[in-house]
Amino acid sequence: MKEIQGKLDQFAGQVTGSRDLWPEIERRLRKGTPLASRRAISSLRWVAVTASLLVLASTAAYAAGPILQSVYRINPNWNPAAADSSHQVNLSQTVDGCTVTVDQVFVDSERILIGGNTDGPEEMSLSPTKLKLVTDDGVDLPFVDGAGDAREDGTSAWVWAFDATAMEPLPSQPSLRLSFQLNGIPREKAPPPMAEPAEKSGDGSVIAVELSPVETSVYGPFVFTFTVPVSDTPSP
Amino acid sequence: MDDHQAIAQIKQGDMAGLETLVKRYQDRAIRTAYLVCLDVDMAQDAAQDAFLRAFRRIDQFDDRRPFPPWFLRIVTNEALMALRRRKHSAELPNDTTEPVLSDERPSIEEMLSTAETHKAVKDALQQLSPKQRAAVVARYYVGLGEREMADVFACPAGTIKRRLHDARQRLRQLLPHWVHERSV
Repeated sequence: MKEIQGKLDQFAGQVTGSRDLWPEIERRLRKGTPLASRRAISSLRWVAVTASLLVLASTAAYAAGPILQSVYRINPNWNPAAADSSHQVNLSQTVDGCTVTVDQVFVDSERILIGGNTDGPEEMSLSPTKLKLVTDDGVDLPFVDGAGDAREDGTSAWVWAFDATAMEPLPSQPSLRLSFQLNGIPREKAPPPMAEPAEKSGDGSVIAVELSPVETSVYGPFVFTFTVPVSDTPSP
Repeated sequence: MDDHQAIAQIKQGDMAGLETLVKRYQDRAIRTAYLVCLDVDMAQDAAQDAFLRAFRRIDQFDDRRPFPPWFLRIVTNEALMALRRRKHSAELPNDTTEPVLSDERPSIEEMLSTAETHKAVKDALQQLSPKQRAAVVARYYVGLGEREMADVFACPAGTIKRRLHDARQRLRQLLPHWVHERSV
């Protein structure tokens, strides 16, 4: 055991004081509302705070650029430049205290990339479900891939990719309808990534992992309709 | 100021206590997260999130116990969550950021030997699943017991045992020089 410990220590030891975390932590503490101080906010003040957040949420799209750029970098098949060549949509919808903004859409003959952000309850871990994209004449465009960057303050940015080849012939400005719901699980109860339903042991047999039931909240449905021009640039 | 004094300050709403703990444990937190993420940037973000989470949960900390094991459990979990947030990515992050080497300058021979070791260890750790990697880090780096690990990872102790067993088997194959039978 000490050998493993020693080697891990040696290996991890190559990462050293590269960054002082305190300035950023302090900034996040000042910017966000840490739980300790949040408890002191009265119900009445919460109304004002919530109202302010709704106003902020409506302008969130304009501040979403950098985080969306980072999401585009997650998937090696996507070029961050797609964020620049996308059509700005900037549609927001708030349901059950959860605000979703569709920021930008990129369409070419092969792929539709939809980028947006979600601003939900800080204590909830949100994930999309029943994701559906259809054209105005009812053609279902299959979901291909997605990536997201979730922040602890409850905001997240995401990009979803859909297959555009089902649109034949490809209109110059397809009208699309995006609908989905968000499943919310309290962060405290969200299963850690290790607790998946089953895992394979070394000998290939499947080991059951016990999962306690978790109450899920459903937000939505969120529905967005938009018309966007097809891009001349190659698929990112 | 010792850890418990710093924690007492935090509980009273004085951020100086948190700053003390951040300065004291940030390197260790980043290293722990790095062992799980194998990516320096992600490890730094996970360490940062862990400090914030520890701050928010400070009321749950048992003052009779030492701070580092409790905190590093949070770090390990945050690192796993960071990986989960990147779950749509097809593979492990391409860590283009070379870890910043410490100021102590070893000889060229030592550097070459160390570099080979680091590469071998990183390659081996990458061969483990994130769950196995986190289990190895929690057990052998953070020093948690299997019962504590079962609590952290929300799974039965038997699953932890199996996960560690499989991880050790794999490491023994990949790194025969440093994972001997007596390590098991």
